[in-house]
Order: sequence, then C-alpha cells, then structure tokens
Amino acid sequence: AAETAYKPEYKLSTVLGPAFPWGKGGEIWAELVRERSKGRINIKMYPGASLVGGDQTRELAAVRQGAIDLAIGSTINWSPQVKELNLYALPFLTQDHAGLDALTSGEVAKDIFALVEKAGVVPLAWGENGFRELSNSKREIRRPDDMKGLKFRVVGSPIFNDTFSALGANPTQMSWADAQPALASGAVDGQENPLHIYTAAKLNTVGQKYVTLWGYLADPLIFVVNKQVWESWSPEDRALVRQAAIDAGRQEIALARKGLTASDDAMYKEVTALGATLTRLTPAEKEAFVRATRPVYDKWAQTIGPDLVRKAEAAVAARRK
Amino acid sequence: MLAEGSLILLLGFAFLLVLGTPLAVALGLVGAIVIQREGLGIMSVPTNVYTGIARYPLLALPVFILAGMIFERAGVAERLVRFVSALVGQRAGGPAIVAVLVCMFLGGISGSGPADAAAVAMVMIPGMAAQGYPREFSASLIAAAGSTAILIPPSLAFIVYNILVPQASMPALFAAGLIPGVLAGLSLLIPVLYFSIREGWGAESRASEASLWQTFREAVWGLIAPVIILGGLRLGLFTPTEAAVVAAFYGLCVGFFVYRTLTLRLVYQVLVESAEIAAVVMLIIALASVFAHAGSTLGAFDAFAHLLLGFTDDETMMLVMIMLMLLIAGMLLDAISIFLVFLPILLPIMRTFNWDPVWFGVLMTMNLAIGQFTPPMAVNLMVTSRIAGVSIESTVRWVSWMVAAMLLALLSVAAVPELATWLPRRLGY
Amino acid sequence: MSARQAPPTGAAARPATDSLTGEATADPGSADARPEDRPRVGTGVEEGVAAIAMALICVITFANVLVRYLTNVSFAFTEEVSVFLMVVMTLAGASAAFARNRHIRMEYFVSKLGRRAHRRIEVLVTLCGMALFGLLAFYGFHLFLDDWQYATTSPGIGVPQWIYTVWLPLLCALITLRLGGRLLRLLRGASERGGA
Ligand code: NA
Ligand code: NA
Repeated sequence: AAETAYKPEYKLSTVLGPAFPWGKGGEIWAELVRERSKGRINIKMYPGASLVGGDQTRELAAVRQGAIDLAIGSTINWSPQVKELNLYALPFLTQDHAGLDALTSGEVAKDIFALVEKAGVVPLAWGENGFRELSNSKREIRRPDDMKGLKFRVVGSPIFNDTFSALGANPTQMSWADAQPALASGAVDGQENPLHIYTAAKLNTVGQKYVTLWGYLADPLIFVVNKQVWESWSPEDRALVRQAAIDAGRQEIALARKGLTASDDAMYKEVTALGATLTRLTPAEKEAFVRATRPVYDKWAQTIGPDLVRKAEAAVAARRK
Repeated sequence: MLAEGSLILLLGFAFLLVLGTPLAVALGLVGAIVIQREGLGIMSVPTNVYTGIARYPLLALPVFILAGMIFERAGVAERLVRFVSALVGQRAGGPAIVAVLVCMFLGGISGSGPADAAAVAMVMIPGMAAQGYPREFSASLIAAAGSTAILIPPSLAFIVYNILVPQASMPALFAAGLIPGVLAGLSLLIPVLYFSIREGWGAESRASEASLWQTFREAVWGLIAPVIILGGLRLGLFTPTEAAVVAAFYGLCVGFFVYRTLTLRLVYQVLVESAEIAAVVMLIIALASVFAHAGSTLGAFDAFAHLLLGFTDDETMMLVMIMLMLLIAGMLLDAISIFLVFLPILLPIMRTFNWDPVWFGVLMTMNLAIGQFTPPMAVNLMVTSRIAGVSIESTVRWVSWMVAAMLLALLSVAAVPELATWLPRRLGY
Repeated sequence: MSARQAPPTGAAARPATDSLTGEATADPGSADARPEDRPRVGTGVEEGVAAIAMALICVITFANVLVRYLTNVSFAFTEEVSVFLMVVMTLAGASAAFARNRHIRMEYFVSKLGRRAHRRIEVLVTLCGMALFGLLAFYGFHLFLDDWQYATTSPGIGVPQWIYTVWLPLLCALITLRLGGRLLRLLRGASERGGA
C-alpha cells in the first residue's frame, strides 16, 4: 500500500498506567519509538482504556476500526474478538515463568499472532501482565470450598464464569474502572490479578485482606498497531516500531516478574507489609483446585481448538524437562 | 492557548446550547464533528455512546428514579406529613417546619430534588395556605427543602459524580452527603422561623387529632425505607444498584399490600415515566462521553483548566471562583448537566490543589442543589409553583432568602471539610 | 435550562413526572403542548419497550440478590444483560422524548426572540439532531457489522456480541425518523401560519 502522511500524534491504549509494569511498558515503547524515529512518530499513551470509555473488552475492535492507533492489550481482554486467546485462560495450563515463555514463543506464538492478524490488526511483540493470584475481603482461601458463595470480579471471557462457578464462587464481569469502586463498596468480595496490581493499586485499602498464591494462569500482553497506520509508515519505520515493541516488551516482562522470582521475593514481602494474609498452597492443596477446574479446561480446549491446546501443552512440557 | 480544535469544541458547544439545541445533541454533534475533523477516529463515536451507557455502576441511576417514584405514588409523603406534624406539634411556624423535615426524610428515599419537592408540595401547600402562608412562600420553601434530596443519600447527583470521578466511591459520597444535606435543610429553618414569628403564620396550627403512635404506625413503612437502603449498603449486603431495586420492590409491596394505593396500571405508568426520565439523563451521559473523548484527546479540558489557573493560584480564590461559576451555571442548567459539562475542566484544578474528591463532590452538589431553585432554570421551583398555582417571578422575593440560608450551609462545609469527610472516614469507606 | 412552562393547573393536578430534571413538564397531548410536540404516530411502542427494559433490569437485579443469599448458584453473569437493557431503555425512551420535545435544553435565550426567528432556529436545531443520530445510525451500523463479521462474543455470557450492538443503529435510525417527523410538523405549521 502507498505510504500516506504521518499523523502528528498516535494514540496508544493500555488498561493500566505507568505505576504498573503494563503502563510502564507503554511508556517505554512510546519513548523508544520517538527517540529512534527522531520525532517522526509521536505516541501518546491513554491508560484506563479511556479511548473506549473504559471498556477494555472493546479495545481490540477499536484498534481494528481505527479509533485507536496502537495498543498493548491483555490476551484476556481481547478474547471476545479472538476466541483462541482463551488458551492463556485455561486454568493451570502453566504454572511458572518458563512455561509461560513457552507459550509466547515458537509455534504457539506464531499461531496466535496469525490469528490476531486475522482479526484485523498487526501484532508486533509480547509483554506480560503476569500470574494472577486470588484476593478477597472475607476469609483465607486454601481449598475450593473456601470460595463458596464469594463474589469475584472477573473480566473478558465466559471461561472465568465457568472456572469460578466450578469452584463454587459467584463470578461477575466488570471493567477495571468499575472493579475498584465495587471492591470498595463490598459489592464484590474478591478479584484475581497479578500481585504488582495488588500493590500498585493498594487493594489492601479496599478491604482485600486475604491473598492466595495459586497462579492458576498468566495473561501475556500483545503489542499491536492498526493496519492502516502500519501501512502508512515507511518500511524502515515499520522495522523500527517493531523492534521498539520487542525491546519494550522485554523490559516490561522483566518489570512484571520483578520480586516474584526464586532469587528476589520482594513482591511477596511487600504484600505482607501491606497487612495482607499471604497464603501459599502446598502442592496437594493446589491439586484440589486443578481437579475442580479440570472439566472447564476440557470444555474450553474444544472451543479454543484441540490442536492448538495440544501444541501448547507440549511446549510447556518441553520446557519443564 | 487553546488550539483550533479545542476552540471549535468549546465555542461550538456554547453556540448550539444558546440556540436551544437539546444538551445531548449539542454535546454529541460538536464532539463528533471535532473527532472527524481532527482525525481522532470516527468509530470512537458509536463506541463511546455504547460504552457511555453500558456501565454497571450507572444501573443505580434509573432504578433509584423508579424507586423514588414508586414511593411517591404509594402515598408515603402524606403519611410522613401526618406523623411529623404530630411530632412537631403546635408551635409558630409548625407547618413550614414539617414541610422542611418531611422533604429531608423523603430525601432519604428519593434521589432527586423535583420528585421530593413535588410529593411534599402536593400534600402540604393547600394546608399551609389555610394557615396563612402565602403560596409563593410555600412554593419557594418546598423547592429549596426538596433540593436536599440530592445531598441526603441516595442521590442521583452523586451517582453521576461517581461515574465521572471513580476515585470517589459511591458509598463514600452517599455517607459524605448526609451531614451537609441535613445542615442545608436545617439552615432553611432560619427564614422559616423569622417570617413565621414576624408574620404570625402557622401559629394556629392545630395539633392533629390522631395520636403520635397512630401516625407513626402508618408512617413507619416509609421511615424504614432509608434504613433498608443505607443499612443494606453499609453492611455490604447490596450494591447501590441492588439497594435501589430492593427499595423499589419494597415500595411496591407497601403500595400494593399496606397502603393499597397502587394498581398494575399505575405501576406500568410509573415504569414508563421513570424510564423516560432516566433515558433523557442517560442520553446526555452517553453523548457527553463523545464530547469528553474529543476534549480529552485534544487536551482541550487541560488547556482550559490551565487558563483558569492563570487567573489565580490562590486556593481559596479559586474555590470561590468555582462556586460562583457553579451558582451562575445553576441558574441556567440542571445539576446532572452541570456535572457533565464542568467536571472535565474542574478535575485538573481539583488535582492541582489536591482537593479531596469526595469533599469537592459534596461542595459541587451543594451548589447544584441551590441551582435547583434559582430561576430561570429551577427544576424544583417549576414543579412547586405549578402546584401552588403561582408564577415563578412572584417567588423570587422568597427564593433569595432560601438561597442566602443555604449558602450559609455551603460556606460551613467549604470552611470545615470535616463536615463532609468525617462520616465516610468513620464508616471506613 | 428547560422547556416552556405549562400554565399552572392547580394543586390537584399531578405534574407529569419531572423527577430528575423538572423537564418534560408538559403532558403529552395536553392543551399546552405545541403542535410540533404532538407526534402523529404515537410513542406507545417506544414507551412500552423502555418500560419493559426497566422492569427486566429490576427483575434480573432482584433475582441476583435472591440467588446470592438463598442459593450457591452463580447468576451474576446476567449483569451483562441488565447493562445492555439500559442501552435499549435509554435509546427507546430518548426516542419518545424527542418526538415530544422533552429533552433538556436551554430555551431561555431563544424564547426572547420573535416567533418567526424562533421557528427558524427550531428547524435548525431539529436538523442538528437528525445529523447526529443519522451519523450514529450509520457508524453504529459499522460497529454492528464489525461484531458480526469478526464473530465477536460477549465477555460475560459468550453470546454473539452483535445481538447487543445491533440495537444501537436501529434505535438511532428510529430517533432520526422521529426528528424527521418533528421537522415536517414544524415546516407544515409554519406554512399553515404563513410564517418562516
Ligand atoms: Na436523596
Ligand atoms: Na437554577
């Protein structure tokens, strides 16, 4: 396609702001692009999915339609448009960073990017929101039974309704913008998100006293560009924006894992310092959650596509060896 | 300086408004034109209209409108008036005091000023006239007292404020409005007592024949409603939306089985009316989100706020300026519209001075409450003077007293933020 | 901001609504409504749709409370439907309100103008409304088309998203028609009176 005039400013959508790894990643991307393009391409970030009125599940469609130029989105939030992204929401598909890396590289990543491309946007690079841990205001959760009757905020896909219903909880869908007041008012009892969101959003101040480390899934982030915008750039600029996304993604993933590794457990200490009760499940305890959610896994594997799921399982298993 | 797109946005909006274009249309049309012209992505227009309405916390708005209307049609106001009359007894200014107190009580059920004012005006104005109160005075008083309904929880104004300023949670706002709302109501007793005693109005009010206990037994069904709404919220039993729905069903039960005032036909009518009123408000909210999208992506609101901050960097001066601006706007616009039009500009200023968003919301709402009875656009006064059968012009003399009284309450909350922030903090919101 | 004030009807008359805004005080079809505020095609259908949406919102939400306290069944995903019903209620209710000129507007300044000038401005204002809702119907159709073509599913229940979004262009088109009707009544009224 012929190159057209560059816009004075490109709008980048994220759900979280620079206080979180996600938003920080957006900032880094924008900065790298501005620097390397010598100001030819200016990116302004809009956190809070504010370009789509806060409804993060409409973000991908808005990129496709040109209401958003670039976005860094979670696989969860974009699963209404690309049902295969539910792969990352399969409970307990992978439980460590190595396994997660297996799902964002190689064959699986190639397949997923092809599907995202088919959804009408140009995928460039991977980032990471992280392993999602459970928090609530009512009681310590060690067994699925402890979740009975608790109302949890989830977002993005009916797979979460199935997973939480299978555990006896009462899931409800809402955007992040609506979730915080809902937690504050006690309208919902709990939520699931990476720990850095817990600390940066100070969820202890909205009554989230109990945190259970169950790491039932992790949502990667995907850096994308609107197709027309992509085609309006020169080949050099395209390469530059793609490389900047890859570099920003790497830095963002490092930020997202900070304090959550064997050598650096600062994040767990921070959560405890906020006054939360941090619960680590024993392998046996975790197994109970895996077993309870297995039917959901099997059902959704059909929706996502058995081939892709098998490929993903194999990739995770290969890393484990 | 404001860039061209921002100027088109703000001036175009003002121009359409002055022409009498419906507010919703003015906001949406100017927003869409600017979005198209500045290449902001035209598909953001339908997307923002949809997502502007389809938000879970907003559900509380139509349902509180419905609940308030059900209680009104069920006849709660009449029974509250009988009970409070028995309570206040025979004294100078009796009926006027009753009117103010009942307006405040009903404010604890209804979230909207005109609904509150209408219900009390219909029950009280004829009786007050018989006691010597000029109809113009009664209309002004009840219009003013009815405005406490947007301060005393539940409040439609706070629901909209929460949508626009999510860091001020709805329960915190509801709690924060209680003391200022009661203060605003009580401030009206100053002109009430002054004129009642000087003119001898209401001195001959007979104590009602019914005993306090009898009237209480009738009124208790209405008196429980605020307890259900606020208690349920406080205990975390319900979300605000659920509290409104529970109140609506409770009101239906009272109307059908206790007071036997409701019929299926009436209920359908109430559904139609409340849905239409909610629709009018929510259409503005939806199209204001198009306007806000254009304004915030262009940086128009920040630039305008910056312009205002250029006039003064003194915190008190700025607050006084804002309050004056809101009082003037309150003469021309209704409360919800003012929130939608002014908040995008005021939020950067609020952040600059590090004002507590809950306190600022209460202050703004107190201004807007006053706006509900300052002509020419005075939603409460339009209702009460229609019921009283007097012209709006003829009330101005009394209205100015009510405005002065309520300004006292406003000033005290401005000077002592604790009046608003103490209760929500105490309740742990 | 608001509409003309109806003449006082005495304490016995119930003001037609105005719960929130005091708006829309004129009864439909009452003697004080101007001819252009009385649609030829009654607004019963829109009113019925809006009322049913309101009733359903209440029933779903109430059922949510009951189910939560009485059972262990998960029902909260139905909130997606409530939120959608709110969109239908808003647009259907707004349509009826456009037909009868019940939207919030500032008529203070134009009311000071002469009748002919006032009427001309009224025509212009109605055209503005038609432009906006025509545009919303058009691009709303694209929004629907996008959800349809890419088989987007709803985040809560997982049904096709287009069954929700299709109502945006449909109801906006209806509002455009309502405003068109109002425009015709305005122009007809003007020619009958030999004005503008
Ligand atoms: Na109230
Ligand atoms: Na006013």
